[in-house]
Amino acid sequence: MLAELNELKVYFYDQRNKRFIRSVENVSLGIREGTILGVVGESGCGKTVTALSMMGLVESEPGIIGGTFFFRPDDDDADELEDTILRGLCTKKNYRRERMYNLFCGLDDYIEFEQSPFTIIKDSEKWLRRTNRVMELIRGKYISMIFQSPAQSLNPYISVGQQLQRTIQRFHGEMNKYEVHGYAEELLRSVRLRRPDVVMASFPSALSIGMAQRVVIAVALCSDPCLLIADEPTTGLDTTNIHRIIKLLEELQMERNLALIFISHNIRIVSAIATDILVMYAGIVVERGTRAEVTKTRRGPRHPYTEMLVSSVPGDADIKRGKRLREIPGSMPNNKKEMDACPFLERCPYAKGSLRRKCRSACPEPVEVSPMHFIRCYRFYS
Amino acid sequence: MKRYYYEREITNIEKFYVPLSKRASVRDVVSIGFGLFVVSYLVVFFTISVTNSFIKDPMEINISQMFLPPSMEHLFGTDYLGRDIFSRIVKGTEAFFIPGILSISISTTFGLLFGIVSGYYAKYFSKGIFYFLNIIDSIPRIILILLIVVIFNPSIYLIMAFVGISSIPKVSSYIKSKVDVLKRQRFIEAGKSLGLSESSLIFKHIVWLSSKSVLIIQATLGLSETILIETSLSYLGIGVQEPTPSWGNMVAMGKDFFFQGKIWLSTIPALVIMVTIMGLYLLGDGLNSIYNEKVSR
Amino acid sequence: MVRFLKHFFKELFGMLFLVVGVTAILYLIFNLMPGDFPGKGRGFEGYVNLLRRLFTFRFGTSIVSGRDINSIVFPAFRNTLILTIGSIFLSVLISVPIGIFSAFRGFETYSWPFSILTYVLSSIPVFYLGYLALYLVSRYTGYLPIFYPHGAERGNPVLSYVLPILVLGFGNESISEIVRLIANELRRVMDNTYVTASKARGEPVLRSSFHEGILIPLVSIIFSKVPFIIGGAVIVEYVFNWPGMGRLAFQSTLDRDLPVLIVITFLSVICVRSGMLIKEMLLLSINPERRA
Repeated sequence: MLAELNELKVYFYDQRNKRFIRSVENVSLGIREGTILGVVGESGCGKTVTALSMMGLVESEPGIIGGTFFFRPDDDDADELEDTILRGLCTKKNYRRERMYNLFCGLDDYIEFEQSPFTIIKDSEKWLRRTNRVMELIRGKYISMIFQSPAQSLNPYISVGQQLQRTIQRFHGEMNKYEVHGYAEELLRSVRLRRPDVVMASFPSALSIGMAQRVVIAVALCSDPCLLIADEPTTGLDTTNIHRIIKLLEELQMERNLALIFISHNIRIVSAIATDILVMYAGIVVERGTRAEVTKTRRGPRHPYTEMLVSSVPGDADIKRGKRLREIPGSMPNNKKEMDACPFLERCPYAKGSLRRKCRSACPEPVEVSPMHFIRCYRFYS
Repeated sequence: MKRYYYEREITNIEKFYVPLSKRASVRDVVSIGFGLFVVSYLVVFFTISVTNSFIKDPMEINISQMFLPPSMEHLFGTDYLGRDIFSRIVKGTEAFFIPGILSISISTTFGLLFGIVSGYYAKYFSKGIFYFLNIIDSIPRIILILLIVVIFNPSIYLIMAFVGISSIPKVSSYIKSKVDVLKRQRFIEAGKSLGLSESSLIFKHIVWLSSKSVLIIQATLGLSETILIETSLSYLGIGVQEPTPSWGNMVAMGKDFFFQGKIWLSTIPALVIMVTIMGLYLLGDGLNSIYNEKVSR
Repeated sequence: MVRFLKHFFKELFGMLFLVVGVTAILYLIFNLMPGDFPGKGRGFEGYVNLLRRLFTFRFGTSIVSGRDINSIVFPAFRNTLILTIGSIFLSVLISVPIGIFSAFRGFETYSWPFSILTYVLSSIPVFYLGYLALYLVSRYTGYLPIFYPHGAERGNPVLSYVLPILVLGFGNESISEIVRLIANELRRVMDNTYVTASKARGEPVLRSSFHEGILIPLVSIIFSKVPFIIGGAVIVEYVFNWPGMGRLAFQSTLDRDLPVLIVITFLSVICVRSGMLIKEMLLLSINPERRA
């Protein structure tokens, strides 16, 4: 297991209206080396926030208030990481499990979380700063992230070549100028960009969106990370580019044995390349399992939300017959209240009768319906 | 340690326009409060001095009472001619109050006018107005003032009028950029298609609703600059002349007595100037951060 | 590149046009006043003559003192430049770190005292501050910070340069202005996606936000202070008896020395416009989007 996130809770505080926004609630995910994890969900379900918290980029307060994030670095850096954690973050014994380190160690020292009244006491500054120090060792080097809009991920004031060079020099300090330049060109070639010299000399505003996204991927891979988080990399692109970028990501992942977390709201794209799939809704994980289990099986157990997501994509037969598109009625519940029922209740077609009472009582816990396939639904409880 | 409390849930429709009171942070409130305090004492002093009531005669020379340090009798002490400094300070507000208001009215009205014209009807009037404004803009303000002094031998009112004129380019460029941005907004297009007349569009929507903040802030900052200019000119001797009190010439007259240890003659007017300018500056700054706060984070 | 040059020459031409306009107005007005200056009363021909002499930098002699204007103005110009450029340098040196600090820490407990301090310092009127500094220094160190070449044996060269620069650097509201500008711009840029993306790659926030957050605002504000560079040091020069352009302009005003005034105005306008031109060219070169 390369990285394991457990029970992540991220809350934000709205100063003006004096209330909490439960962004992410008890999200757990695990990713193994060399696999692709797809995260699917509507806008606002907390996927981006989860990704950002894995990178330590959540800056609003209070931010991350619970959970552990175990990560396994390379052996040569393990000592340095251990030092930083021990010195800065916490000295508890559970900062390490086998060869994995908890990057959110010490969180419970700084947080007191009471359910009612909903109070969080946090010495926010200190913990943020300390985790930041730990995260700085990890960021970019082991975990890289690419964002949704490529044009906005590149610094518009410096040329592409310079951006590449800065990043390369940061992680490969021993290279001289020519080596850096050569490595940069090689990276650009590896993302299938022809004429890397021209690309390096140009500014981001001169690139087309497909090219820009490839450059962003190239920059993210500068340091040869073991985990790449792609936050909706295809959302801003047109269809031909989507296809190309996905193919590119697949190939890169195979070449470098990358672990990839692919976040999208389009389940079709995700199921095209992912090995495991995570379905999120309203800040919680509603289903987790391998691709086969989650998407392909017609009769197999599935969360109602996943089912509706999959069936909302029209098949070829449906299109030919001119059938009406199937949508999921309603919208996400207000995440400013306590979660006292299953969040999907209002939109679930199965919540009827006696089942409904259960659905209303509390949020369901994950049930393992088959090995490594978890669903949060009362239908599978027995 | 910060505590976050969750109060009751607000279920009504969220308002998109957050009222001013909620947008202000503590810092802004303090700045604006202080600024308003300054404005109020300016107004009070001005009315007192104009109506010649409540205070001792600022011109009354009383050699026997020279160089008295601040006391209950003379709040700020007396100067080298025995005149009460406090009353001279109060009287000194006359030197810049009306001229200052004159200056900012000229700069804001004409700035607004030119800004709107060049922003809205860019094609026709732009070139000529630009040229004229550029000429004014190219001459450093002090040089302009000195030239005016040479040409006209002016009173402080005329000087301040020209100071106002010299600020027109800056204000009009602010307004023009605002107009440029607003002109393209959808709500203008919507207004036009609803049949609103051009003038109502301009005055009501663009000017009043959106540019009001820019103007007020420019006026406030402009006033503080005017005060600084007036006091500096009086210090140099080309503004208000003795025996009429101005904070600037009080500092000038008092500075020679530093070496004798009688620092209050010079220091007190300087402190008053400092507090006034700081207050107005803070006022403008606080207003700026309230009006222009971007709703991010 | 070609567009660059085209723009440059267009602006240059506009600048000259402007200078001509200013001098024309001055010429007209001065002609109507008492007081003599070269070319008075000779109408258009006199004006052309005046222009020719101005542009070739042969300024003639002063009416009042009879000295050659060139020998007065150019040294004065150099002295003023020393003073004002030094003070802008000082202001930037002090304000930029404070601005950066304030942007990173937010407006909380740390930066509040700083901000208040800078406001207070910047609001003290320059004429008072100058004199106070002069008084304190000469009283407690026995040195008289007189401008060095003219000063007697009691003059201290370092002090005589440092003191006016210090006073000017602190006393003209530049510090609080620059602090606020940098803090606001940096904060705005730090919220931008590309900065977060760079942070995700491990690049320090300051480095990636440098261009837009610091470099551009600094360039804008430094070059917008050019008018100040020319004339704004009048008061400090007066207090410290510093033989610069400001003091020269002031004295010429008192003496009604019209030729010198024309020359000073001419030089000022040229400097101000060239400053603006340089600023635009710089901004154009930094901001790649503008090129296209």
